Amino acid sequence: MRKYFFRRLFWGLVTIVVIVTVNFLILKLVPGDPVTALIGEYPAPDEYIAQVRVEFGLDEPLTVQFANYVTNLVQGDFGYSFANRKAVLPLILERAQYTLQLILPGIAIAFLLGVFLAVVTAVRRSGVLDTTVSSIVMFGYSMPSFWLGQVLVLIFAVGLSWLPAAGIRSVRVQPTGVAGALDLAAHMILPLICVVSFKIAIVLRVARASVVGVMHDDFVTTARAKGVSERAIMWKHVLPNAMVPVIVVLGYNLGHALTSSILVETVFAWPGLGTLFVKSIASRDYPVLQGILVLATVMVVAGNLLADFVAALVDPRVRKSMGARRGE
Amino acid sequence: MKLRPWALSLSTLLLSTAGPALAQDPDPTYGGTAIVVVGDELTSLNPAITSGSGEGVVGCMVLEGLVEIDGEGNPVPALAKSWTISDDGLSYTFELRETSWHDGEPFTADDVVYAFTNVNSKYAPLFSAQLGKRIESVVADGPHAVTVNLSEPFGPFMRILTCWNGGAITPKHVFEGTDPNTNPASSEMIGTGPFKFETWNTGDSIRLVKNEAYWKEGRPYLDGVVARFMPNAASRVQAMLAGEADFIQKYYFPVSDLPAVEASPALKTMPASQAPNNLLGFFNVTKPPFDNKELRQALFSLVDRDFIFKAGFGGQGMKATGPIPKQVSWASNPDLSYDEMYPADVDAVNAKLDELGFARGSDGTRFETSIIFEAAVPERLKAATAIQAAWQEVGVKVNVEPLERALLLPRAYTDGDFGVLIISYGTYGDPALGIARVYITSSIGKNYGNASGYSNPQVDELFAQGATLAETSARSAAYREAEKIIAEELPVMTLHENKGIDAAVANLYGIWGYEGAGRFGEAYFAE
Repeated sequence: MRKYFFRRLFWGLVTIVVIVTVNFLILKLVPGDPVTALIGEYPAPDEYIAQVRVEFGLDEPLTVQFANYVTNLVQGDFGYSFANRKAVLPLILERAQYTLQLILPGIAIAFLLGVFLAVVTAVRRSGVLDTTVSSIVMFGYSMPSFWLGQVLVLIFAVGLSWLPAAGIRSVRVQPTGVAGALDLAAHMILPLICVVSFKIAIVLRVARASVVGVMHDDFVTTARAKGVSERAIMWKHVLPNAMVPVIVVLGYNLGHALTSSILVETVFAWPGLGTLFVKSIASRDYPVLQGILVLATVMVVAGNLLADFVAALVDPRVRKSMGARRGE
Repeated sequence: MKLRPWALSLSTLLLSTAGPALAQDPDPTYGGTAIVVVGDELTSLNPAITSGSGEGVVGCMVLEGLVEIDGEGNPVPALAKSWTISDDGLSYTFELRETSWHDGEPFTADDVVYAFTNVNSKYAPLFSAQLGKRIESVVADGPHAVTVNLSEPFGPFMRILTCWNGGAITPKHVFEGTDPNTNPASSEMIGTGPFKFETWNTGDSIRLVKNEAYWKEGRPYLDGVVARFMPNAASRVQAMLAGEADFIQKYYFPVSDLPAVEASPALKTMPASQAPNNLLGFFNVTKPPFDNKELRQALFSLVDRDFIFKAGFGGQGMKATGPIPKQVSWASNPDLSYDEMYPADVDAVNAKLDELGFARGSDGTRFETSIIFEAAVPERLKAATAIQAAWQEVGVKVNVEPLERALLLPRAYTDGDFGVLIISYGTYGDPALGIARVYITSSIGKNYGNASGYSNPQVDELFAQGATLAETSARSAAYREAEKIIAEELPVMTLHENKGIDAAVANLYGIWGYEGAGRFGEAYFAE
């Protein structure tokens, strides 16, 4: 198990190095000039443009820029954002916190609700409840979150005035304490619905298929023959055995947590990494784009590693398959 | 040095007659926080280092220039109480206001000398491009007087001294010895303006609070202003309808949302504070087929500017009649009219194209060309498709290519890889600042400059005269002559003369009437 862990970790690090290099090159090859976004919409004197280019190290050859970037990166320096006039790492960590504030509850709700609905619909499969739940969930999955967000705002913010339309906090008044927490919760509801509506479908489909599969295993028949109640069979025997694929999906979603809510953040002016990413593409803010991609890569690798190890903890068969590799 | 006192008296008169609000507006009340929508998160709060609109709108609530420009286009006092101009138009002496920076340090002539010499002349795009080489010296004449000496007279000099146009005065004691591009003080700005910086919630908003020690007695009316970042255009009016925003400036107000604003009694539209801007269609005159003047003239006659005015801009602004907007009345030629010069006649255009040798191929196409424009701006797509449809009728196939701005700029200004470029240019209320760059030779190859590649020494000379002559009448004559030439040679089609509109809640007053960023120091909510 330990050897397996270190092997996965090693290949995870290799993946990160490769992606950092490829990202750097791709971003530099994309046409566009970050200086134009900085200067604005007026023909600037050549001397000024040259001066800005020197200030941000854009006058150096590509190889020098890459060497500087990697040297700084290994020292934890992600560079300086042209467009935000801030160091990149604190900037993206601050914005990542807002994204996680939205995405982690979204994944948690999608996971819990998805697994619950999977069990309910697996037990009554092909019934009215199964069909209804599956249809609603697939409808939510099929709707572009961008569009769904606008519709929710029109209904619940503009039409009914029940919930805020945008942002993470009220800005006209500045509630604190409990009122501040409630204010944050109110701002989270509509974006959360968009996040959950997409993710729940994935969890539900994987979990339902897995539960249905396990329900036909021999040990379930044996348990039933021994007189174990259906409720106990489901929650104590079927569900733990059906969880491995769901955990893999969960790990995948955690890995993509930082970049999976770009559209939702844009619609709701949520100050997360998604809005920063879109803005940074438009302004060709290379250091920020590279920083976000590095962070996202680390998250994907870490999320997948985590999912593998949790699966091993949950399911002895996975542990056993890892052990088999010792002899390789 | 002989001084001309007329500027002082004119300014004093204008200041005394310019009330806090328009005559029909209700009485001002104190209090409230206005929520102002901007698009993407700002790059800083320093309008002296960028010409970005968001930085200007919000930064100019914190910083100020020496003057403002009133609704008639005249300079009126801001940080300068008064000024005199030497007879030769080379020296401007300003008497400065005795006030303090937001941190309590006194504002003095040294600040102006430092800012003009080290910040505005080097970092502010409009200021540095127009004044960087024209300012010979900036000299403090005591703690509250400063003289700017120019190498040649420059008509729009005062106009560039506004905060909005790049003349914001930044504090010497904060910026001296630093690079304003990287100094964090450019974001946590200390100014002299009606509002003080309080907090910057990254990705979300900037909060400004009332400057209780503001030099203008009784101002500002508002307790504060919050600038809210809303990158998605479709969400902005929704936020306003939901009561979460109070003001959307023209740059951030999608024309497609105009009906929603007009339908709501809680909202209103107002003519934007900024000087008019032109929607332009640059022909690429450096290569065939648009190096042919007669072809340009023939095809332009078919472009339906009325459709662009009504469908593209929802009837806002004016149908374009010439290269200089009629709204800049002192400079535009009242007798010049595209309608008279270029009446639409499809048969005549077909005949002209035949005569010019652009014969139809077997599929009826004479030649193929491209129109490029920024994809994010819907009215440009409407203009492009209007041109496509019109030219299709005479056998010219147009490929419409919407592009991301970062891709558009090199194709338009560096590579010259287009047939027609559609883009909008601000006029800054003076042809020397906003129109000349479209046509003069020296701005070829520069972003937001002369994309067509057109070069005419006579036009260059007329624009140079217009910029450097002292008397307005002489300037007008030069521009009107230049306008005649460029309307006839037609390197650029003026497709629409736009004013732009702001959207606001119905009970917000005081912002409008002057040129520039909007007067938030005068803004108030009515009961």
